[in-house]
Amino acid sequence: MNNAVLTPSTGWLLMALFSVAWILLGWRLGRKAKTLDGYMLAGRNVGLALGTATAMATWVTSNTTMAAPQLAYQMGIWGMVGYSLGAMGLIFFAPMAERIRALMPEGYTSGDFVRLRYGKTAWRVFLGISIFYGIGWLISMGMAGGILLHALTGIEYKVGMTVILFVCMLYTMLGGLYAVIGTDYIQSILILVGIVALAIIAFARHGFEPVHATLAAERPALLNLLMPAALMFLFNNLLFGLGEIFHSNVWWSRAFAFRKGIGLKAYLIAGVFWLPVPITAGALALLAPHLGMNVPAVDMVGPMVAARLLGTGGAIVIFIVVFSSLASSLDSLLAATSDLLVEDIYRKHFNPAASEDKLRRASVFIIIGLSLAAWLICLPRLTHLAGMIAFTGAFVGSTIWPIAAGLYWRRTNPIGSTLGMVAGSAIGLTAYYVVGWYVAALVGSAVSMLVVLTTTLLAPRDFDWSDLQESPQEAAL
Amino acid sequence: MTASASPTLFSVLIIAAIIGAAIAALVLIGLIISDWRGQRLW
Repeated sequence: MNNAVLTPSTGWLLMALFSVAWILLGWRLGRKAKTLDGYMLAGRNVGLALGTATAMATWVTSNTTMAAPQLAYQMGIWGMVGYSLGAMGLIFFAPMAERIRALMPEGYTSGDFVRLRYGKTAWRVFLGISIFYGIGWLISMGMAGGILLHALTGIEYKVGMTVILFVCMLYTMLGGLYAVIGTDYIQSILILVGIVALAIIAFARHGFEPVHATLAAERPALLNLLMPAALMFLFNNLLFGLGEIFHSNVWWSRAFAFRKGIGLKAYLIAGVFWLPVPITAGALALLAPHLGMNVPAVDMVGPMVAARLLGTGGAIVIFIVVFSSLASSLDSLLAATSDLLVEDIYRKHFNPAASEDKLRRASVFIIIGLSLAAWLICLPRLTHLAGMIAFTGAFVGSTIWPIAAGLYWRRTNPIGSTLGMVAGSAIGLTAYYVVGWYVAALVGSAVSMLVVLTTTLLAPRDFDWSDLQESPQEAAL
Repeated sequence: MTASASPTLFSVLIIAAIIGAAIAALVLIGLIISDWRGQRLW
């Protein structure tokens, strides 16, 4: 059954308009990227406005704008509040971003930190986790793009998925991190204005008390503040968010890219600004019972409510919000994963003497290769692959302690950190299959914490923080 | 065990979120103007 809220021709028109805008902006900003630092890290001089917007927009994925209404519809108030706690990842990362910039003014990736802090074995384990997670997230976003564009406009899955991946690849390739951050700013404004406009119009028309009264009469569980499943989701989501942000190069590359003194403020403000987004988007879904709507596909409840309330205008706004959310995450993933592959795999493993020009060319080829690989895997629409992002919770959870302890605790044991990542991932994954998806991140982080703390307390190792300051010449050796 | 959100809590939560998101958009616009004027964008 096709529940599309827009016609394919409107979808094509909107998609063409925004695609051309992102590509032109990417091309224009790309002219600033004259050096490798410019291309990979936007010249390491990003200011507060662009820094805040890029952190916020990247964390607003299509999951935030589509799954928050679904969770509100299924788990009620705690579903959307639980989702909004994902903001804690950004808030906790804020002081870390400042410290990363201070400790590693010449750093490029999260891999650089793990290699210099813990040695090559830990580095390779970390790269395995980080690259696997980055590619997994890329695939799940690519698939989400095809599925959402089909659901919103009726455009065929393969066509929608190809367009969104191709557009993001093109402007990321043309402008590197300059293009990613520049487009993120506009996307963050579009997302915020879109959801605020929809929520204001929706509740101005129907009022809070009538909507509450319908929920109390027909779906009282959605108002229950002690729903166990929702509380469990809240806790797992919090840990998953922490692990994802602490380890992923998407966030580290921004810490390196922000001007000195910006990281703390930008991540802190971005976290506070992100907090109301899932609640505002999720609240729309709570109107569905009041509107007497039959919702055959719960993952489409947000767009369906918007279209019901505002007709084509509402559906267009939700399309722009979803398209912006998809692009702002896909471009960041392409840029950050390619940085990891260029710096930690190509340069450090195969070609340490590569010139800046060669590394920049390698970046372009890797962005194209990554997009092509993601496109090929997304093509058959194996939706169970999109679900694999849930079991990566074990992997990302296992990195929380090695990263946090490594940044702040001078005596952290390197072997313990490596073991923490391996044991946390293995036992977290076992818990995922034996207990359930909601414990993967929790068990992964708990095991890793235990191993890192025990080994460090029993066998502390000294570390000189200045060893993290690797010059470009040393890095090439 | 249940504890239902009252109409007041329900509306306060959603109004706070809408105002928060609106302020976020306005502050982001203000910040970009300020950074642009001070040539601190990049």
